[in-house]
Amino acid sequence: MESVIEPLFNGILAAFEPQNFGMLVLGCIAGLFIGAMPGLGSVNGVAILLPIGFLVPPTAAMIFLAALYYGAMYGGAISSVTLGIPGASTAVATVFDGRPLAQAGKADLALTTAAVASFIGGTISVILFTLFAPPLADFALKFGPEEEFALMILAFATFVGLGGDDIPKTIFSILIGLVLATVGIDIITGKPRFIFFDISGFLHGIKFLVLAIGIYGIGEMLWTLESTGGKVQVHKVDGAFSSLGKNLRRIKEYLGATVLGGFLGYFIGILPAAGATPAALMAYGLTKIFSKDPDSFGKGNIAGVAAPESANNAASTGSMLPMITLGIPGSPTTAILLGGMIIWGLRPGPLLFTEEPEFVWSLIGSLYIANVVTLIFNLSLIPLFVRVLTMPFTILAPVIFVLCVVGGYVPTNTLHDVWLMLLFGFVGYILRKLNYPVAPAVLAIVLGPLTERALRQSLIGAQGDAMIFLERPLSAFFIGCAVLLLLYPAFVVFRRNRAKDKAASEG
Amino acid sequence: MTVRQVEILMAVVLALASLVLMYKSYNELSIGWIPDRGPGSGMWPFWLSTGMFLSCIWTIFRWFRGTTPESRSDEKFMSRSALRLISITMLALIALLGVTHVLGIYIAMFLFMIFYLRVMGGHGWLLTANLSLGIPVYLFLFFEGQLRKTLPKGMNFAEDAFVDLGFYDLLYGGADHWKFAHYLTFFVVGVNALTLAWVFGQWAMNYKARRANNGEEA
Repeated sequence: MESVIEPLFNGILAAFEPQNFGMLVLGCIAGLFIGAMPGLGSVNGVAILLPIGFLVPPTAAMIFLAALYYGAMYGGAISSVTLGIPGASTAVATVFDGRPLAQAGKADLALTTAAVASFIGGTISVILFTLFAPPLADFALKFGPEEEFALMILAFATFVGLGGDDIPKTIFSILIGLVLATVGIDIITGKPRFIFFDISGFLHGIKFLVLAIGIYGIGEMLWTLESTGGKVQVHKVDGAFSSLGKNLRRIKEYLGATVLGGFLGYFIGILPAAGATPAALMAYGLTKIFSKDPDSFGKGNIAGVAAPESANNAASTGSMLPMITLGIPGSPTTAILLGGMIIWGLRPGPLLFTEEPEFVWSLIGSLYIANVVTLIFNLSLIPLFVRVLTMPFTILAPVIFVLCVVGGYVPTNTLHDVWLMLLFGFVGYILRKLNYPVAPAVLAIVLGPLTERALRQSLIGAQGDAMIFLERPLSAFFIGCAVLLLLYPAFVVFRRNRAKDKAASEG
Repeated sequence: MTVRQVEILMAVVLALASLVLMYKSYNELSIGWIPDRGPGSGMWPFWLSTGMFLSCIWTIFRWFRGTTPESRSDEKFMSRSALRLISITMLALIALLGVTHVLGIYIAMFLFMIFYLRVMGGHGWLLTANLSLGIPVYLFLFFEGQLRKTLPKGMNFAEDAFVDLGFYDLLYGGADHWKFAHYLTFFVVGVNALTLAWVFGQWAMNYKARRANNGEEA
């Protein structure tokens, strides 16, 4: 415990250094805005703005992106309440009660509640993060390539077991991400692989950013253009913020739901496949079950706004835990952050704590500060955001397209990558329309090179004996969990069929 | 095309693509164990693409069984208006990249923004002009000025013109040398920022009126 306090204190101080603090404030505001815009969420913001990392040192860049991630979680609630459409998928559950509250003329109450709940959920999760991260990193120091590989398999298995998407399509998405990561020069044998049509642009491989911006920039814009038809419908919302104090005092009513959401969100956020959206939905469901008055949910109960908002913020911090300590991202957004860290020359994983303590603790410290800063900005800027939200999508879309093109070009200075990005965006959009999940592919292209290296190192070390993964207790444990997760959907189907048979025989 | 048709078409195309990947790793790389060297460079991609192929077969199988919602849906894959919107956007993006190869990214994005804001969005000229001029200028100052990262300038003649027009001197010529250009840049950026603020401000002011209009329509 004492060992945590001192570095944490230094980290918080570091977050107040002018450059870091400036980036933090910028990140919070950008995040609030991005989260609030329908069609843009944290993952889109981080993917499109990652090239900012070239401008400032890695610490400041990471603080900026983490603050953006955080801000986007707050921001998602704004459009859920005022427009009735979630600003990001993570804020879906906020619509259930936020919308009725807004229709009843209590949008200000809903927004204040969302902000305060986000703050509490965020704070709970940051404290949990601070307590869990160092011991987990210590533990993970014992991992060899065998455990690393087994852990990656476990991460992918969570998508199949818990992702809730069509299973063959999920598997396809994971595998194509891994295959795309193999394009280029093989690091171990030095052989060029998958140089399609002998185009030399493939020699430097396919950078994860090309796929990430393609899918979350171009593809997402196409998706939003189609679903909104280029317009955003403005709904009637009244928001008077004179009653801020009165609204804040109602915290008693939703404190329990908020704390529940915070803990739940944190632990669900750690899982790579789950993350903020299911965490928010589960928090909503559980709060409703435990509530004394479950019927009032969906009709404007403020606890129904507080629980999911607290959970999605907590999940965003939770998903950073495996990224920092194990090098495995807990969400698509952290997958992109992880890729960014690799570009900046940091190797995410257990060694980060011992090799780059300053970076890690500044990041953790900045999370505490970002939480406070976002709360303040959120409460004071809501009237502005509500107005900006009515901006027609045809203004935002071309600006984002142009930013995507520039962002795709800058890392490698080739237009080849930009064409590829456009292709990925379009194909990703079509696949998404057919219910292929796209997040596993982005996670896989980031983890691909690490997974392959771990696999080949282990196999070389074991003279080609694949049983090595089962002989080492830890990796055997991870593989066992992965197998259970892979079998879980089959178990669900089996149970459902049996229930159906039973019902049929009784009926 | 219905969702059902696109679903099977996509699954078959993806299965064929997986076969190509399998063939490529089998044919060009070694997929087996190389004695004293470890697994060959093709092993990992080969088994991955095999998995891709199998998952596509699984999807095709489920399509015939009618297990997935997509395989039962006879709805149109895209409505006519969505098809129009998406294809125009894609063509505009392809044109953006095509023009970038020839004339450079600044001119390309200028044209792209004009097209998108004015023709597609039907926004006023004031907003269109400011955004389509402002974005390239800001990106130039940010990437080439601050980050010293060059963006594509197109073919040789376009790049020469870019240099001749003195844009680089703006950044590298020194403040004394090009004081005038510096002031001009600040002036343009200032006017641009103020105009945009004014346009958006107007629009924020009209918020109540528009909201009321929408309320009536709804």
